[in-house]
Amino acid sequence: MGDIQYAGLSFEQVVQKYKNTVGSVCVMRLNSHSDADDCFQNTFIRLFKKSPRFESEEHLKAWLIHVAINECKRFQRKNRPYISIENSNDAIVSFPQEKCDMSWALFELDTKYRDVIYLYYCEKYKVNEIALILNKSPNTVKTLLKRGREKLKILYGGVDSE
Amino acid sequence: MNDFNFDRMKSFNTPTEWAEKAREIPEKYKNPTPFLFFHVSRSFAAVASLVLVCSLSVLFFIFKPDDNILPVNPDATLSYETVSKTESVEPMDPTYETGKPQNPDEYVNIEPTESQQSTENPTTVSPTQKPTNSTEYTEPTQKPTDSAPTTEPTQKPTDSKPTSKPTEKPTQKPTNDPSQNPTAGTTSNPVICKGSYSFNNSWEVNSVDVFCKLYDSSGNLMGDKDLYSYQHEASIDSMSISMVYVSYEPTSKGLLLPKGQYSFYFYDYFGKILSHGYVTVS
Repeated sequence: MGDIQYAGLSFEQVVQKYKNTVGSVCVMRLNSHSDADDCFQNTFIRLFKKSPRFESEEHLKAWLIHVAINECKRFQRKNRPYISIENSNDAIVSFPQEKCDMSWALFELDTKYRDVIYLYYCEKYKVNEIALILNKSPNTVKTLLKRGREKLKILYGGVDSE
Repeated sequence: MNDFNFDRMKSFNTPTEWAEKAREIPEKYKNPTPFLFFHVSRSFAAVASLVLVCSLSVLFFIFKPDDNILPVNPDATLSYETVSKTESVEPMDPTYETGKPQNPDEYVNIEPTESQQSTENPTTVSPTQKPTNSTEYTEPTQKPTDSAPTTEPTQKPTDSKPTSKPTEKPTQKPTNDPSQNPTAGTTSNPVICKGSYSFNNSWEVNSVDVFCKLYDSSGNLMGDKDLYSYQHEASIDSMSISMVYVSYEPTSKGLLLPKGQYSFYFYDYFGKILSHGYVTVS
């Protein structure tokens, strides 16, 4: 188990270090705890099976996010129609609006905006990096970012200070 | 947007059991279970089919008529006593040409033909999804020694007639004798499907699995109905600049193919068709 190295880290170290990142991506995408668990596991299974070479830890992290998103897409595609957060008993706890927390609003967005907004604001990726992770062009990412902000503004009712 | 609080999302704490399960992955996948036992029902069917094929092969081998006595004359009857090795049997079929198999099934045709666009399964191949590259196929790794025109008049196998049955192979034991190779089942040679496609960046190659599915001439899917199961997993052979070369060997996945022509499709786990072609199993 300790033989394979991923950007200098063992498999266990990778799991420990990036579990929250991968978990957040899955939860953000799927709105369901058990579904996110499946995709979380599948992401690391894929890491173990593929064992690609990584130039750096940033490369590793970006790869994990890319695979996690793909796993979530695959899961949603396979399990259509997927249960909405209102109907699912297994959904994560919704975030109260009064705490000025964007999470609830993020979940109201379409997944394509959610991905971009999450990666840009939560993971602090740049547009070009997001484009690489999501396999989209930078212009598409910029457009999604812009539209995502506008939708969030409508949902949240705040002012865009940027 | 700076006023918006994303801390809640960033600080999502993954449950410890998720991480513990993930840590066990290397142990769990260190010794992959053989495909025969991957699913009980599938393993049972695979074992049963193997047993059936082996017994049929043994029966065929035991009761295989001697080359000498197979009549070339369609009117003649099979007789194990009447024809001896020293007798010569002239081909009765006037259309028989030296070096030309009579039985079209004996052709081992692996070459793709772009013109033979499959319409057997239109729902899975979008007309707009043209494969970006021509599909490449290889002949079976073991070119059968007897797939070529079987008998030449000048060929004298040790115990067969020189101009005996055009469809009959020399009695030298073929390398793909089913009785010696029970896993080949109904296929005389390993079937390998190969294809290639272009990719935009290395993310796709390292993070996306490639699968392959085969349809027979009637449009029936061969193998597991779950198109993303182990039985349909293809392999990435090599990569060049912007090109990926993939292959799929159904027999290694426990998929026994009867004789016939098949269309195959390589696809990713989003169902996007990457490459397709045809293969004939003799």
